Order: sequence, then structure tokens, then C-alpha cells
Amino acid sequence: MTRPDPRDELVEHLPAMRAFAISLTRNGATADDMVQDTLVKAWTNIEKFQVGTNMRAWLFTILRNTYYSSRRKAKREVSDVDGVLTEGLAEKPAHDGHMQMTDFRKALALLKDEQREALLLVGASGFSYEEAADMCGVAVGTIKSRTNRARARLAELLGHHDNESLEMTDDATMSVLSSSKVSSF
Amino acid sequence: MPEVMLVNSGNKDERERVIDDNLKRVFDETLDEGIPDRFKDLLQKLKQQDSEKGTS
Repeated sequence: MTRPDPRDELVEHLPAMRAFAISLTRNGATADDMVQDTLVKAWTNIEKFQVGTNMRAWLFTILRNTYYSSRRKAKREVSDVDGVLTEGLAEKPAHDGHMQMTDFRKALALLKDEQREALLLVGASGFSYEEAADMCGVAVGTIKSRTNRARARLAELLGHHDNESLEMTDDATMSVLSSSKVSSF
Repeated sequence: MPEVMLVNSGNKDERERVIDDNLKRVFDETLDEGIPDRFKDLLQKLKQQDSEKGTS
């Protein structure tokens, strides 16, 4: 009897890997290149995967390592993204409390990589704080604080303010909001 | 274009729930796209390479 090949499971995790990669890189083409690299690494290093452990966590770990090593190589390119995205996040939420999904994406893209990653792992992918901490190689408390900061920042960017005067009204306001603390108003 | 709910109250738990709901929607949109052909082709190629090497 032959043991099942864990490589056969890789395909099941592909959509989740893409979702994580797209949110992490903020760029569909870069994300798919990273997923491709991850897939090849996973395939050729499958003996390093411990059968019975969480394959998705293993794949996400490879994916994020791929991302951070490529980011180190192209730091200047990545840091420019923020300015471009900030310009686009001008639309203020409608008074009925609704807002376009595109603005949520833009706000998500404005988070620091480490905060966005923690939030994606815990808030969207269903990993526990402990699993996320393992994957990122940091303490559980670090993941918790990154997740909390990410949520607070998103709320701030998306205009969840008690004070109505802090609504986003135009490009100028938005660029101030996104580059400094709201409390400085 | 799907819309997302914003919470106007200052309730932290409710706000977090809404943010997580939105995150999941962002994720689900990609999940719903299925698997692009390039990845199916890649897996096929990797499998083929292995069988040519006689390792599987």
C-alpha cells in the first residue's frame, strides 16, 4: 500500500494562497508570481512538510518568506505604492454608513505589511494567534498587538469616528489622515 | 459593486466584527476565482518532471 502523496493536496490550498498573496502584495501579478515560486518550493521540498501538521500554515509560511525576501530586494519599489494608493482613497463614506469595497481594499493596502499580514492570518484566514505567531516567527503578544493596531488603523482610515468633523472630505484631508494621527487635528 | 457596512457606533467589538467580515469578503472574492490555468499547468509540469526522473 502506498502512502498518499502530500503534494496532491497542494492544489486544494492554491485559492487561499492566492488570496493571502494578493492581500499581502497588493498586486495581482506579483502575487501570482509569488504563489508560483511558493508552489515550486513546496513541491521540491515536500519532504520537509510534516505529515499530519497544517499544510496551509506551512505554505503560507513559505509564501510570506518569499514575499519578505523579495521585498528586501526591491524596497524602494514597494514603498512607492503607498503614495499612489493614498491618492485614490478620497471617497468619503456615504451617510447611510455604506462604503465601496474598493475603499476597504485601499485602506487595507495602507497598513504596514506586518500589521496587514497579522490581520489577514487571524481575521481572514482563520489561524489562531498561536499559529500566526509561529508562521511569522514572533511572540503571540506581538501578533495580538499587530492585529489590534491593524483593526484600529483600518477603522480610522474608513472613517469610524465618533467625531463627525473628522470625516474624509477630499484628497488633501485624506492624505493628512493617512500620514498622521487623527488626534493631531 | 458590492457594498460594505460601516459601523457608526463606537462599539469596538462590533467594529472588529465588521472589519473581519470585510476582510473575509476580500478573501472570498479571490477564492471564488478558482485556480488559474498557469498553476494547473505548473503542477502538471512538476509531476511530469518527477516521473521522468523516475522518482515517483
